[in-house]
Amino acid sequence: MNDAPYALELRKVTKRFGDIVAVDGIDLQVPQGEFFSLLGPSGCGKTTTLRMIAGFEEPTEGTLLLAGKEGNEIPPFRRNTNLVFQSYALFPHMTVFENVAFGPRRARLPEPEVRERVMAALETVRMAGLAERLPRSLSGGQRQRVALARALVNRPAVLLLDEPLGALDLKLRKEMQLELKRIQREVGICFVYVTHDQEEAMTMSDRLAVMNEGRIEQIGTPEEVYHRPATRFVAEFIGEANILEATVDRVEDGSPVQVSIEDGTTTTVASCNEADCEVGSRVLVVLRPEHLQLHRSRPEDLPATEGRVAEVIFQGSVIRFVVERLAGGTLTVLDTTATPHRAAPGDGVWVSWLPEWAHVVSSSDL
Amino acid sequence: MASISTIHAGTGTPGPRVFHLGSTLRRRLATTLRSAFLLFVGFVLFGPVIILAAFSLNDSIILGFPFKGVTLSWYVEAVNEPDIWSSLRASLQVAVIVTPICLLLGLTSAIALTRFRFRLRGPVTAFVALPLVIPWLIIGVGSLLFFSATGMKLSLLTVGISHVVIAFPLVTVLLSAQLYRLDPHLHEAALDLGATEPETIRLVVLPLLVPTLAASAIFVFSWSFNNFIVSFFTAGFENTFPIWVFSTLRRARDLPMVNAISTLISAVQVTVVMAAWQVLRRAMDKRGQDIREIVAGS
Repeated sequence: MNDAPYALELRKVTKRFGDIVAVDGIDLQVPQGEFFSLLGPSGCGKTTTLRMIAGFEEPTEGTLLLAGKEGNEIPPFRRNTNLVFQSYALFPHMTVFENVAFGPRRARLPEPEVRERVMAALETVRMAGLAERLPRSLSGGQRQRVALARALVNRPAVLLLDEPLGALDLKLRKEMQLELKRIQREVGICFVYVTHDQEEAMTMSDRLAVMNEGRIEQIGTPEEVYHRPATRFVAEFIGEANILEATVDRVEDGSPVQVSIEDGTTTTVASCNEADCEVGSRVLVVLRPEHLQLHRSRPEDLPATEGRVAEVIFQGSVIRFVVERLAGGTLTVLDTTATPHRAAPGDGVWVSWLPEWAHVVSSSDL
Repeated sequence: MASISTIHAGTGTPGPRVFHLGSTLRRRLATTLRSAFLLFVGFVLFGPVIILAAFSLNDSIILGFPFKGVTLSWYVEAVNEPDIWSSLRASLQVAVIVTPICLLLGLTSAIALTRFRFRLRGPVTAFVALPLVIPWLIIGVGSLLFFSATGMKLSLLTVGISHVVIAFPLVTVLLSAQLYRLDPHLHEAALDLGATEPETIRLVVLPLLVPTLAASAIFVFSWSFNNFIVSFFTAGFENTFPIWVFSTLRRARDLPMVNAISTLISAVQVTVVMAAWQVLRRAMDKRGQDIREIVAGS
């Protein structure tokens, strides 16, 4: 291990392919031992960022630091990083053992140590019993584990994973998410994980970066990013969001910001991105569906807006209400099916929220 | 119109039965036709070879029925003919040298054309593949003009050079197809795991190309060994086996002997190719590959 504070650091890194800006001046720091995710829709630059870290692409501008040392031009085979490919890229003519031993043998480790390390890595991913098998005789999930072992065995400073669960079915994916998290905790290596699946990123990450159009929109823990999204894009990409247009009424030190929604309802909000909060500025209130409640009549001490139930969708553990607001637009309300009261399509209702769950983002990126 | 067709359909009650009978007949007819067609194709494909083999055993110098009796004398005569052996040795020499050269040229050109992006890649690809579509007659005549213009004496060397020209593009095409099919991430994975470029080629790319290389070797060898047209123009006073066959055919008396030796050589070639294929299949099986990948893709 190294004393550098960050296993990985990107400073104003930009990557251009011809006229196309794939990655646009991103900054990020990943400390040792962290599970960090790059999350975003396809084409947001997350894979390009990963490939720059792995050494397959060179940044057009900016600096990439690996364990505190500048690493822009280190070729991939001399970098202390390893990449798990989405297609696994296992060598089809080698057994599981030979695949995993490929890295240590290139590092010219003595053969007994190679054997020891390979078996330990296979043990970690619970594949030791299949060491002599060929990749084509393995299932998708098993190949995934071998690919992981093949990268881990080199004890990289940073392990890079490019949507490694994308090809697995849902059930196996859920299993592997927990498994990856366990392995990461066990080996203590910094993981940088690329995915477009926000649920996957939330499940595993210590912190994550939400990317869009080559830029990082927000970096934070899953809770921060979910409860206090920096932009409308983040609010809508991570989980579901109800967005209401509003105007800032009151900003005072020590007391919550107050905004009024266009239908006249006023509400205080728990948090507001500082730059957006000036009296009179147009903002967006973000309300998560599970933080909303339905009422038959106007609740007395809660901010609420009036509407009519358009649809009721039963989804097993939760029930989803789509409410058309009288002021226009729709709201989605989620409730657990344990709640006894029911509303039916056509019912007039009031939708309320707790001010401590309301969050405000700028409306500038409408 | 609609009503007429409705009435038509309605009155045709015996229709289905007739149709049923017809369909059985039709099925039988189809089966017969299919078999006849297969027999015809088989006859056209293998008829000449079978006739050749049959007449090589006929105790007569006339290639015609009726059979005069079975004899092995033509084989004895062929085996004792020194020109056959020298021409066979020449053909073998050329093929043995041409094959590795074609594999090397094909491999390097295929890697260059698939892995590197350079200006003129399109035109270069077309240029490399060009000998595959130019008639061998043209290549033969062109080679003859080229060698005489440059003052090169015609010999087995000039035969070999022109064989390389016609055969290596085939290797390039076969190997490029296989390289395109490989997961491009295999190459990156090897680099990522600490292999240098040469190590990546040696440890990952080449082993995955071995089956295609072996298949290419079989093709190139038999192209070179069996080639007549190009050899004919570039051999000068040398005799390769196909040239010897052609020149001997002009003497009707020797025809049965040519039959005999051709039958023998064909049998040897078929046996060797089939054996090579089996060896290859076993080797690939052990390495977890399927021989069908060469022809059908993975």
